[in-house]
Amino acid sequence: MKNCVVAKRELLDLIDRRIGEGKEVVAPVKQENQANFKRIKSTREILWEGPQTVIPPKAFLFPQEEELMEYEVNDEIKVKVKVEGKPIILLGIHPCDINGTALLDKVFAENNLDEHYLKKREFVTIIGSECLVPCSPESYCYRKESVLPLEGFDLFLTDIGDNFFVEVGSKKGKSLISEIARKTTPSDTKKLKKIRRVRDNLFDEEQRKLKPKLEDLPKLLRENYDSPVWDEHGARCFSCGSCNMVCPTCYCFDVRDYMELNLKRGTRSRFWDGCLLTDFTKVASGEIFREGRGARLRHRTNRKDWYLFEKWERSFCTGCGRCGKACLTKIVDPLDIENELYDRWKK
Amino acid sequence: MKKPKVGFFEFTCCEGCQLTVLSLGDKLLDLFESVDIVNFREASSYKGQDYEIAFIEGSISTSKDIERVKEIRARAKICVALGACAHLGGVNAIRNFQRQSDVRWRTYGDKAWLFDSILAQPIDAVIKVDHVIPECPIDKKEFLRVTASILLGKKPFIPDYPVCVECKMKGNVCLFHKPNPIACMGPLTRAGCGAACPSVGNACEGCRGLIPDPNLSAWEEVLKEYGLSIEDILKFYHMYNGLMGVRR
Repeated sequence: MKNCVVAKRELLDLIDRRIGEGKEVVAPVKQENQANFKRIKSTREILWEGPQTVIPPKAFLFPQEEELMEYEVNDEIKVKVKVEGKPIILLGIHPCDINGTALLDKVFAENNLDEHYLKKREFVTIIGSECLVPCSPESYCYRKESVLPLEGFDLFLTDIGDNFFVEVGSKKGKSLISEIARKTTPSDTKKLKKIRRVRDNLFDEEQRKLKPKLEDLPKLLRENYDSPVWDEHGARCFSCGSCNMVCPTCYCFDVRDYMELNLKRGTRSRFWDGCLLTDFTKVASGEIFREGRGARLRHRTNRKDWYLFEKWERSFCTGCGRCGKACLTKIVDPLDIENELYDRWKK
Repeated sequence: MKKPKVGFFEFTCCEGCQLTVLSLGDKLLDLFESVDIVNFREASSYKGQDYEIAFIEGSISTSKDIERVKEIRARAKICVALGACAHLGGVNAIRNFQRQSDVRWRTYGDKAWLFDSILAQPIDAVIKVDHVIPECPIDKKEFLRVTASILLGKKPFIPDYPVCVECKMKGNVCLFHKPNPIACMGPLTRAGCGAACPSVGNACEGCRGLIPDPNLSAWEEVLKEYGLSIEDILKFYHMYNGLMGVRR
């Protein structure tokens, strides 16, 4: 779809008008010394540049707690499956999170279609915005080829001065701005290119380096399956799952049934789960399949940069840096682990 | 289905967990519909001795308590520890780490000889406990869910993962990462409270007990990095979890 240009003020006014009409617009806003996605009343609330939100936008497509169905047990059993969505505009989404969401789109649409996710996804409009400065010292999106989104957005905005340069990703996005969009001029494109060159240099300079080549990560992890690094890091792991909760591509969930006290009505819900949690692999007999903290840490890292990387031909770590920030003992950051594996491997 | 008979019993505690049950609102009617309550001091003067399910609140802190809780166990088919005192010994066990003669004097003065107080213990130090509803006080939603599971004959779901899971789900800024950091026991403590305290800016003090495999050494390291002393760390442990080393 064709790129275009919109005047910043016009786009923000347009969105403010939509908010006024009752449209749910969600954007990153400041929360203490960090940020979070909140429903906004005005585009003035938006925090365009970092710090990163505590929770990624996946929560709007795959909520922390989601009722899948409700049932009633009388003489017969009545079941009502809940597949619901409501229109939301997610605004100011960073490229790492757009890429994370695009990966979830693939996962939830594979084999057994996840209706609950897909219905919500259908109603969500994603308006991304390009990061021109690193959002946090923990992020390393530039190393994970995630400074720009490949897919999964409706509109993607780049601040080129008075205007946004807009990449249009969908018809939904296109129609949203049809009344204010202008054709791009060679000078707009030139500005965009220059901004991106400066940004690349800045990110390259400021973000931590990934020592192995990105495409070599699956091999690095395969060959270091038995590295002592896993247990060394694991020794300081709380098994608190914070890394899983804040990750834009972690999608595991647990399903639980809750019966009301009248033993007639009940609900089945799913909850975010995480492979770092001790009981993630606990089965009915009480056995735990992945018992060591190091083994669980290895599993997460391997999922991001080996198993799913090979399967979907893209790293499942977008370099957002949230897990590295959330981890109190600083043991979980995939880039740190991979660099350490690489250093020792090379010796 | 015949309604099971249920009793509520209290040992050393504030009875706040039973008051939580009483404040269930319209859900209380569901409870009355599902069970026959034959013993509930906070709600009724009737004292039936015929019950199948006993909800036991409070810690064991006199030798008489030991006999009484054993009697309850002998009568009930299912015993449920209700709240942190019954589950962990609760705040009552803080005194276990002080000189007992001082504690007794401070509390009872020259009448101390009249009271046969012993070290505070959780009820499972004395009797077999079938289920636990943790927290100080208990969580209403969890009480309803656990009770429904017991009535169904299903193992109740109590999380084995720490408070951090629910704290992150809420999108809270970690207390350790705030501009003025606060040391928090969330990484060690069993979830289920919805990160109630951290969500309002207070440290988790571990009232739901520790997860089955808490990484104590990692947590102590973190606290030392934040400048806390061994004494500070012990205060955290003693608040609700002083007995973790001697509990089964």
